[in-house]
Amino acid sequence: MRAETVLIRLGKAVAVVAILFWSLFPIVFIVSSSLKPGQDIFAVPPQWTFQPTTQHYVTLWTQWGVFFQGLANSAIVTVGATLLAVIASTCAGYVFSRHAARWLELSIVGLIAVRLIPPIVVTLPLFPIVNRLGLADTHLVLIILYATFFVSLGTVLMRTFIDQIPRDLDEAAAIDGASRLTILRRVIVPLAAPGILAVAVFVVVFAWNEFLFAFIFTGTNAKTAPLVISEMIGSIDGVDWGVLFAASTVQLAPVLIFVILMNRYLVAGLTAGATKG
Amino acid sequence: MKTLQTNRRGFLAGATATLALIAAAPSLAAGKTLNILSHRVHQTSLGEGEADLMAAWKQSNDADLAFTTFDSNPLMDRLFREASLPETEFGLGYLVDNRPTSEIAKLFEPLDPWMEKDAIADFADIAPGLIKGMTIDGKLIGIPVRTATQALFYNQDLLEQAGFSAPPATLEELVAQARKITDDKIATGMILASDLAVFPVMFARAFGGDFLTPDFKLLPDPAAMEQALTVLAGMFANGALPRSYATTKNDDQVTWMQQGRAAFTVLPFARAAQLNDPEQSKFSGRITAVGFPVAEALAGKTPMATVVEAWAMVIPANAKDKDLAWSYIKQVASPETTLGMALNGNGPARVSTFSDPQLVAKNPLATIEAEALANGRGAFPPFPEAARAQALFLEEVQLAVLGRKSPAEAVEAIAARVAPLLP
Amino acid sequence: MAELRLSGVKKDYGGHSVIKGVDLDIRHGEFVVFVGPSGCGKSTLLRMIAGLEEISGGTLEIGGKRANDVSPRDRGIAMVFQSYALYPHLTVAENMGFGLSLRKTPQAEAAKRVARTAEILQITHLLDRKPSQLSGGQRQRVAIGRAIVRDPSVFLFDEPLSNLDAALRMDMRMEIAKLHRNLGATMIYVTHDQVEAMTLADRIVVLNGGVVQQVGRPIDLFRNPCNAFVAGFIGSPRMNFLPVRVESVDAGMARVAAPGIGPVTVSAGRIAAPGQAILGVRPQILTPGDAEGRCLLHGRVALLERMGTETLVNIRLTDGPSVLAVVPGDLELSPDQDISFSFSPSDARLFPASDLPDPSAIPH
Repeated sequence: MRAETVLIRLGKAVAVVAILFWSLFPIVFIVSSSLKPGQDIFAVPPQWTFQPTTQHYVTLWTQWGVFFQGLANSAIVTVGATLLAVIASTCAGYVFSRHAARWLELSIVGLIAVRLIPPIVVTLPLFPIVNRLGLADTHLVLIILYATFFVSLGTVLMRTFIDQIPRDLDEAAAIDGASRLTILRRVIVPLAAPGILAVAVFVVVFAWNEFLFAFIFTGTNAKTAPLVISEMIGSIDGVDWGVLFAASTVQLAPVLIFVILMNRYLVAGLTAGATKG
Repeated sequence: MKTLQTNRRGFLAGATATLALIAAAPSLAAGKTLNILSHRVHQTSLGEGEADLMAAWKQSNDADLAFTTFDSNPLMDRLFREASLPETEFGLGYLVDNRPTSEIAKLFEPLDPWMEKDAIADFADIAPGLIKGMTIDGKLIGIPVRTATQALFYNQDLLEQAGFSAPPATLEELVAQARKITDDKIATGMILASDLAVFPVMFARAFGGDFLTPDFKLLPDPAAMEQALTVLAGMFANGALPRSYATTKNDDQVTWMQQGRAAFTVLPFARAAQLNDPEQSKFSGRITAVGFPVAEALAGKTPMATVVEAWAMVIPANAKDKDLAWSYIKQVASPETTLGMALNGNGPARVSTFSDPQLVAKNPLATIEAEALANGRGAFPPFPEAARAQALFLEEVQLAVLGRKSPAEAVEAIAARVAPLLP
Repeated sequence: MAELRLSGVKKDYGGHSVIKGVDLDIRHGEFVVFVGPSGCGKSTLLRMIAGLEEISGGTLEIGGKRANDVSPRDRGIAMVFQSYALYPHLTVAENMGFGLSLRKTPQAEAAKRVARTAEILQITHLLDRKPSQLSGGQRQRVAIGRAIVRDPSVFLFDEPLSNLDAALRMDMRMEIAKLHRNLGATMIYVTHDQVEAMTLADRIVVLNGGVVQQVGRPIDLFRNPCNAFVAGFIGSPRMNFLPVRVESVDAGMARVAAPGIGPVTVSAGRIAAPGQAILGVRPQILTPGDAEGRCLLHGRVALLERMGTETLVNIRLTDGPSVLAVVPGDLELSPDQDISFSFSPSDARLFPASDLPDPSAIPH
């Protein structure tokens, strides 16, 4: 082996390690800090070995019950928004894939353009409207907003996926006796399942972590976990870092597990269109 | 294709589970409810469960309290936003005293008529300075409920290691002790956040000056501000302030003190509990506080005007049930509830509460906190451009402390740049 | 009953006319083949019958009822696609039973019908497989099975054999013919392959440019093509077209001549006056040598294809175009050799020159 290739291999290894460190360090830091005794979290020099403690998790459970309510709210909102976004994106993607018309093309440009507007521009004017409709501080308002926010990307993704399903299948099913909805349900949905899962991953990750909409539109009943965590950070009577890291770990775990499980669909979603056919 | 099918089945199962979850979600509690916008601190200081200070009130009013809590700045945003709607569900809010400008004050119910109709018990006991801070354009818009008075915290162990048996009595002594602790390599002398106006304002006041007075006089004594900046720049130059001063935040002050990395800091009295929390602090029981000292020249003549931040209860002018809200205010501002909250760690707004034996027994700093509060006031009065004024002020202070500008130049620049922003 | 009637059926795509008014009656149980070059509109016409394309003008009647606006599932038709269009996520049995399950056929009944159909098509052993595990021929059988199982009154086939190799195509062709005999259902079959058309059809519909050129029994089309397009399209190898000059027309007979040809008297067909015309000569009617009453062609051998049972000779005529002759048996000739062929004038067909504005446009 020539010296040059050894150098290149070494460079690649260093790059991989650097990327791993870059992406894993915050996670490792948060999780390990949540298990450290409070005195050791910010000790200088940092303590790499320590007696793990569940003390912060106990404190989280006993003093921040609202955090677990927040998790339940996050779960309801995430699942609701994901279902709504997936259903809407699939239906819309199907229409965009199977029908060609100038106004449809324009509307898809519109869909994408909506994504370019900073969310804050939309949210503040919505505040009085949401209040008037009596939707403030409900799960429903977040479900609708998150789903709306993701329907554009979801639709474009689903269109790409459905484009890859031959039209002949729709036609064969139509002749076999299927209505439009039956075609969607029994032919398109099963075949576009990887795309649906990819869209679901995007929505789940977004909805689970979202802060701005939740902050503006909820207060108590639908308050999500990220809002509770933000209160922990800014507490005017001092931050209990151990509890904060424990809460972050609890918040992080489900979505991390979900993303790992769905990884291959996520990749499929990201490369959709690149590998047509 | 086999896997595809299983996934679809799993997906549908998940969907069904979700619908069940939504159906099972708790429904809203019915009956009379007072919706409150606050910081979590305001909720917890009222106690929960058996220790609920509002239990009797809830029973006699057949009402429930629903707290919606946010961190300070988001809380203010939300409160003002709710109060700007045609109508709001929130009957009561907590307002910090550096926010009510004339414009903002108009969003809230004037409380003097309510006082005349149904007065708060022993109203005169509430610190007059705090009442003044909540009186905007001649109208009382908030009832003070919580104070945070800045104190000088010190680590007794580190002071003893450097040979000091008593905390500093003057600003010059503070500087000398911080310097010695630094020089002896025991710890960094003092830690202060660089992004808060509180600290330069305190140093300026220690020399009899100020940044902006309650009647909007900018730099009433420029020489005092120059002296303050000179002292801070000197501390930074010889290491008595950390090298990382420019990026130091409020939370760093707490962790540095807990870890024994700094000997002095300036924080509200209420932080004593956290600084001495055995689970977080390596110097539990060894960190205590005194009032921030004045300069030698003023000692015994002018008392220190320490920085006090206060929270008040306000009723949005567009609230629905103002009677219930006023009833709540009366109960929370009562001497008994004030004491109960103080025992839960809340800085009281009533002068008499500080001398209550129960509180003194629980909080040894109560007496000196009362003294400091007596002469304290906000860092600067509220006005529309306050945030920008603070940013400009801090920019010049940092340049002076880091030695990029002479204190005299910095003071001149503060005067020139902040003046146009004043109301 | 499933007779179909198309009256003035038209299809426009945004001002562009694809089907320009088709009139056609298809009897119950008839096997009709639509044939024509690609782009002639044959598939579009089939899809209009299926209900997959809207009908822009005219009427379509199925079983005596106007069906223009009837949805595909209510037309009582089944269709076999060129791509087979099998549902990749379903097994063969599920593919075949899909239509039955949609029509709420009881499960036991559906299973029985799938099993019976699979037996007819000899795919019983494949019922549990997914389409991706099947060969092309097997997929084709499943696609046909899916159509048969529903027992429709009309079958539509859209170039069903074009994705198969030659040997398989012949087998399937025979099988489809057998199926038609056994089922007795109306079948409409689209292809661009005139051999399939000739072998399968009761009647052939030749389409070009969205217009029906001729409708008739295969042998009639072969013998009496109404124009040069049909003559060129039906029959293999393609008919030779020779530009000629009509010198006189009299009593249905025309006297024509060209360099290297004639003069010779042939049936005038649609020619009524002297002028330019095209003489159509099928390769099979050319025989080597000369005889009494035959028309002689003289030239050189340009290309020789010896198949054993027959020989294809490409002859470059003296002062003229090339012609192709198909001669039974093996013929030993060498390239560039001088040669004479002749044909009987009664076997040749005369067409107006306007039939072939661009002779090269006719595909083989």
